[in-house]
Amino acid sequence: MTARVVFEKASRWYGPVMALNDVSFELGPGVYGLLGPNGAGKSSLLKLASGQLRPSQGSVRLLGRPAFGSPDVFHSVGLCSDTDALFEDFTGLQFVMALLSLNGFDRATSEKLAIEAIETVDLKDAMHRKVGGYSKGMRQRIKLAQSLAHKPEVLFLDEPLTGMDPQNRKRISDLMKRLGDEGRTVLVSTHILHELEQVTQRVLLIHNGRVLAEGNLREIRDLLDRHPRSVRLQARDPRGLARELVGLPDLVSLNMEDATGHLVAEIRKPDAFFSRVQELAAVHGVQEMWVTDENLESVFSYLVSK
Amino acid sequence: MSTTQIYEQHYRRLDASIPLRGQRWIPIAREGLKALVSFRAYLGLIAIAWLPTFGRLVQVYFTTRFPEARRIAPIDDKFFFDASTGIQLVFMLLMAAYAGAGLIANDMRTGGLLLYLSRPLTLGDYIFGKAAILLVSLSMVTLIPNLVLFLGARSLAPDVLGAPVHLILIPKIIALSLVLTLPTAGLVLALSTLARNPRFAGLGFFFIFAGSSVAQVIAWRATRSPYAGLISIQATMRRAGEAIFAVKPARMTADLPPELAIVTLVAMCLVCLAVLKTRVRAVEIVK
Repeated sequence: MTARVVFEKASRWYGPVMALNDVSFELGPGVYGLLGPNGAGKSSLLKLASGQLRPSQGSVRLLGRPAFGSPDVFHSVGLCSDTDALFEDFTGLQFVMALLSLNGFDRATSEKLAIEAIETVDLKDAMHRKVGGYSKGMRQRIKLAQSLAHKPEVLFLDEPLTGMDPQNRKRISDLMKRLGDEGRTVLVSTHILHELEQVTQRVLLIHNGRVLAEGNLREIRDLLDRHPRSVRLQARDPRGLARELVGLPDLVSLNMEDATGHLVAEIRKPDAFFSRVQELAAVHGVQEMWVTDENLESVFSYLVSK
Repeated sequence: MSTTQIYEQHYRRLDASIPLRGQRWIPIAREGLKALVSFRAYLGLIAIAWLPTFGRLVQVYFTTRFPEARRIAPIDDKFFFDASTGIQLVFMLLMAAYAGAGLIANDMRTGGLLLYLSRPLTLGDYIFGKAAILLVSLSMVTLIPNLVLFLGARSLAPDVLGAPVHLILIPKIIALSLVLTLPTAGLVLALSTLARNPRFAGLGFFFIFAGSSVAQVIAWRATRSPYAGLISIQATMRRAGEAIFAVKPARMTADLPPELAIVTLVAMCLVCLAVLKTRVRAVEIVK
């Protein structure tokens, strides 16, 4: 594997606050997910990786050079940050062209590359409109366009799907996958697990500034399966449903909420549980079922406690 | 990683066609100026700032028609010195506040700095590019009108300014413009990094500029010392300009060594540069 992004015992703190703690990993070509709850240190990690921050300790190398203080490396790096700062008075096309001109492309090349990138994110119809009038999803897409317009080898995408409708989420997810398949390195940060599943199986789990787990998403899934999850059920006959469920081997606990009449089950193997509920749905009138703590925060808390 | 996937490189690497080293600030300046020119207020301010220049050209024209008027309003070094330091100074301050206060503050407030620093640019390129936007804007209301005034006056009154010896006025005008614009640009950009809000940066700039002049008057009245002039940015600039144009100094700063005024302005520029370097870097660190 050709390592393009290398963290070696990298730490970063802001005054007394530790943002990243002793992080080591290597990224080669392909798409990687950077997964963690809000405040986990994802943005700090991306800023270190993209040379916006100097590590307080350890080293961060990007394309063989120190990420911080090597501006030339940005000829081959694209960053779609979480900031909402754009050149509001520029049109979408002017915005991407202006940033390409900072890379040293002449006007004609900038225009060609900008249009290509804008087409890729499906914004061509709006490229002559001012960025200030763009919706949240459009702003996200134009940011993405500027990050990939110069065809970088390494792309850092901070929450790239935020604010997008399902159709564009799919489009951008496919795009990220394609970029990875082309041999580029794409590091995507998100706090939503299922967004990543559509793009990559390789993830870095980060929590409280530490890389908690690094590996295949299936392995993370297994960890999730071992973590008891809370499922809420609404049914016409909750008592009858509870009687059926109570004998399931992976059920940890089962309670009925007096106020709502909902059943709240704690389970270990969700897939088996969901299949059983499906079988019982018609008999006991299961109207709704939702996992109440399938957020990363609870999973991370679980992993940390292990 | 537990699984290893084999990748082939299917993409094409792109290299920029323009060599960047040494001129990376140019696109920043160009795009910034392009953005400013799209504002009517900016163009309006430049247009108004040129009115005194046209007024003075009319004055020169009249002196060619009525030579006796030259005794009241001579076309000499002081004429050009006053053209730079009179009402033109007010336009320069307005332009500095309008074009300069938000240059860095907006990038810092919104995080736009990341857009620049995720490109092949150094911090120096960024600062220099932003400074260039402001210096060009300030020159549009100081240097350029004054050069046009000189060239216009020279063609209108060749008997007065036509001799080659008067060409020395061109470097004098350029030098005075630098004395006026460099510290002004430095100060407003430094404030732009400190305030983050362009309005506060603009107000702070006026407060410092006007406040330092008031403080100078108070200090001079109390001490009668010419060194009180160093308190005022305007008086210090003026004293340096008086030396460049060899005109009679103002009463309060008549005994202030012009070298000291120039050293003070250079020191001010260096302090502003240090603030810029520290503050713009600080954005990257403290988030």
